[in-house]
Amino acid sequence: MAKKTVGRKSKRLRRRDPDRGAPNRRAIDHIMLAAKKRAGAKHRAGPKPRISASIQQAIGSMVQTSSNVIEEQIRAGQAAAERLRLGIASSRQLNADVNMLVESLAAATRQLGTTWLQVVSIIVRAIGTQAPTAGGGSSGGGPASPTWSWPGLGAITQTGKSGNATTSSSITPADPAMIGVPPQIVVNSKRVTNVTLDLHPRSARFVPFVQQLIAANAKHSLSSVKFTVSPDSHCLILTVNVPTRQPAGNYSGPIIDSSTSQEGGTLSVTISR
Amino acid sequence: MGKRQLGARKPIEVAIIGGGCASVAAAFELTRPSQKGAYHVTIYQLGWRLGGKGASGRGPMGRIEEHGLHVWLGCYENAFLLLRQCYEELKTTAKAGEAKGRTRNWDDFFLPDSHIAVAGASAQGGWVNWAAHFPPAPGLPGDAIELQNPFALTHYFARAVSLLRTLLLGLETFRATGMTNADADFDSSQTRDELPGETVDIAARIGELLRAGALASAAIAVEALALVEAALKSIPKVPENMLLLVLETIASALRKQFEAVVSSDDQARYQWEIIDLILANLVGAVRYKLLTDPRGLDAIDHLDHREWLRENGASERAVNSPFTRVLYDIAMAYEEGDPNRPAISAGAALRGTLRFFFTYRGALFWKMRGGMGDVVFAPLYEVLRARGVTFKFFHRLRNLRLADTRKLAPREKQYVEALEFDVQAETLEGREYQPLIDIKGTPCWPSAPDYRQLKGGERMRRQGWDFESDWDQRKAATLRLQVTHDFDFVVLGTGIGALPHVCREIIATNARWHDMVTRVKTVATQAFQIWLDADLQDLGWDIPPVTLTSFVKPFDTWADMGHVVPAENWPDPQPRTSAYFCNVLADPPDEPNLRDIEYPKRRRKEVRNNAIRFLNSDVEKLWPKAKRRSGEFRWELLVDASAKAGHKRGATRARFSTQYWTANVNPSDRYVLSVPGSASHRISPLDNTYDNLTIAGDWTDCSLNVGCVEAAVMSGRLAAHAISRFPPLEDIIGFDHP
Repeated sequence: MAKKTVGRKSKRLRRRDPDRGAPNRRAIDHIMLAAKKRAGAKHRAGPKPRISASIQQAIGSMVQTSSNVIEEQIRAGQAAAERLRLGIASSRQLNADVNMLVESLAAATRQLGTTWLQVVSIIVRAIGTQAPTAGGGSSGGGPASPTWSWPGLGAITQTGKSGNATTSSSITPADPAMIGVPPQIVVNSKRVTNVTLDLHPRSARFVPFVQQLIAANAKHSLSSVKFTVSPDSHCLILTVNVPTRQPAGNYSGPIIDSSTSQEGGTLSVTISR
Repeated sequence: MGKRQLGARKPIEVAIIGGGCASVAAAFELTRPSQKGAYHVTIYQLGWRLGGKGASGRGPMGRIEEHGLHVWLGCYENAFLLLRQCYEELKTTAKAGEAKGRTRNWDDFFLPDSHIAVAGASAQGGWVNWAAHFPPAPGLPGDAIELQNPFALTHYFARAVSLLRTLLLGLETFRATGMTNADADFDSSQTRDELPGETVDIAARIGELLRAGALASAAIAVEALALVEAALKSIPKVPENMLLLVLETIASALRKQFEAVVSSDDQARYQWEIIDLILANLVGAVRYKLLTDPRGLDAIDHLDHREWLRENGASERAVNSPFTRVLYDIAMAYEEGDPNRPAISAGAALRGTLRFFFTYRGALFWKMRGGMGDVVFAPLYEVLRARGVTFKFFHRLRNLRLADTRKLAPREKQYVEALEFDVQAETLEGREYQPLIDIKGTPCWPSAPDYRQLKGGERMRRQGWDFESDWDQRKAATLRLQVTHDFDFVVLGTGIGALPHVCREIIATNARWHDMVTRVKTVATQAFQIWLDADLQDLGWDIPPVTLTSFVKPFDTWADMGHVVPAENWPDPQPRTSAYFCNVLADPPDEPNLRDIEYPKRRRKEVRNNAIRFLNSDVEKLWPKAKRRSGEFRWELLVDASAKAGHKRGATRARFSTQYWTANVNPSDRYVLSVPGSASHRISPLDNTYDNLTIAGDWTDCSLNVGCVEAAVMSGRLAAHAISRFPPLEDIIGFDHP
């Protein structure tokens, strides 16, 4: 047997209890923490992130609503299935049940999937994963901090500035259960003084497209306006470019849902001399 | 560190048992220069090499011989952080002459790999391999986390949103047309004139769903109609038989159409399965309020992953798809190694998936350009040794003895009083054992000990002493270490499989420890490596080299490792590639007797037979050109390491004997599982029940709680925090994570 080391110490050392013994697993806390860290970051450009009480409330409402929707759908589906199993003689009742079952299940899946997408989009946008690129191009100047308004869960409007332009981006989904995220607006011309975007998506698969904006003088049109997706934050951005010789005026036109070819909003751009 | 100044306080002695990832991570943290020499660490390691489950050695021709497949993931933030710091420090110590020259960077030893492949049964019969390329993500693993925090939930959400948008919006919808000839006798336009209005409504609605809905919606519709169909068949004949005919025909047509699309189109099927799985997880996340639950994903730890998917609406097809199976295969999640007993907690699966796919930096995978021993443990050994860490090889812990409770002072916690070791071998003249060898300028661990340094070494070699086997109890001496005399704190970094053998007192008296060793399961694993005289294209694999999983048992995971061949010492012509295969190994019906010294050899023989059978029967599905017309594997493809010595074997299965295989059956080598309900039974390194003991390993409650290098390193860092309050918990990346 090896020798023991002799007489080194007499006092036994003990570990202290740690300040905490478990990780913080609450997801909402991490969102708050990330927001605080970003707010305290020295080199942060672009809009200041906020987790406002209204956003928390909206998220909470959405989570609760979604949970309720799921529970209702599952209960309704189970009830319908049970009736079917028991054998319903009346075809009217059977038809109603089949319709309800099929549509409810399909709608619930679609709705919840997209609703969740909207929720996370809100969170992403609210905390601010990526500041929009500086508007104005050579004219410089990034967008001013946008303001958010929450008139209700149905409509959301974001106002701000990009370059010299005052911008207003609004989204009002047809389905009140959906929450839309207004696209950011980036203006790459000093001559643009106002951009107003108003979206009315009818479904969660809404893919906006601008073909052409027309001025009061129908000979003048503006087609250098397009929707893109930010590669970093994956948010929708409306980029407004204006050719050098574009006549001044107010240009407006419809937004088309390219997945359904139906109208989904309006856009107007005011160009000064 | 290394020299103590006169008059300085004596350092606190820390005994670390085991030399795996967790143990060396703990040692690395405790001996940082910022600790100012406060701790002196001694690592007690059985056998001749560090590494634990990650140990590797060098065999004939300097070939790398691993426990299994060790691929680092781009989300291993703590592990890469540690290793990168180690390599930087190595350059400094090399300049000071205190370690062998090491001037290369960490990324000289890692190869980014963005391809993953999943094997599944094809609709046309046989196998199909879905290979995915995951684009590089900004940054490198181990970069300062402030630069770009991949663990921010915003990042998760953003990437999840991106993935879903791509899949949902990019998906083709069904076409309502395209009925088969068998359905031609049902003409909805004709029937419309005859049927009651309500029936027309149903048909119209279903048609509308199919035309306008997403693929998942249609699948839901089909399943709902299957329910309707089954129910309707049980209804007695009613006047509405025409309605029944319509509904049955529509249901049948729908199912055929759906099956026709999915069953013949592997691409559509793969897209649908992924969407289905993602949607189920999203529905579940909402349903279980995972955003706000203080337990985070542990709230669903009690559910098996498949159970969770089903409960949240995933179809059976998706539940049994290769994309679900891959989680089980990668995590070796089969209780007792039985492929019929898959088990992984939904919480662990989801947490692992989120980190794996959404937080990787650089590449999804990072393959090592050498064995794990060469790339990870040799540099760490050198840095730790230069810092003054003492290494005691050939020391096997026998017993961790607790203090007599009757002698405890009031309010004094229980503690470890003594550590009892078998000293497996002693070095000549008591010199420090030098464990590393040089292969092409790289310090490596050999696959066998250097018997020349050991007392009676030649005898040990002749008698075949297996220092790493639990069944070989031979020893040269024993050692007893006493608290305060020989150590102050203990970091127990053995594998959990060893705990019942070395912590008998604790397990007998502490219910939580008893539950932990009972409820946190482990599994034995098997692996083999072959070196080939052909490259992948010659073998018939026509896509880039991948890491592939979900293939057939018993070797469902394969990685092409041709990139490590140059690090070996083959004479020209070198092998054109090498391949690693691994998977679980089923436990025998009865627990083996600890005195059965031949047990590991029998299991190795079993693995050999498994490998030969696999090469003959299954590998052709991956490598179609690797078989002869007779159906047998082309054994001549195997590079015979013994050929140089003039013992070249013929092109028969006997040639397999020149390759490498292993059965990892030692208790401390068993791979830890995350079975449902086990998370709550893990104990954290921060636990202070025994006030001079902490634990370290991927089997502990380290927050990640799956078997992997990253979890082990996190655990080691937690163990260091438990002793020294460093690193701060906030600096253990991913510790605070849902």
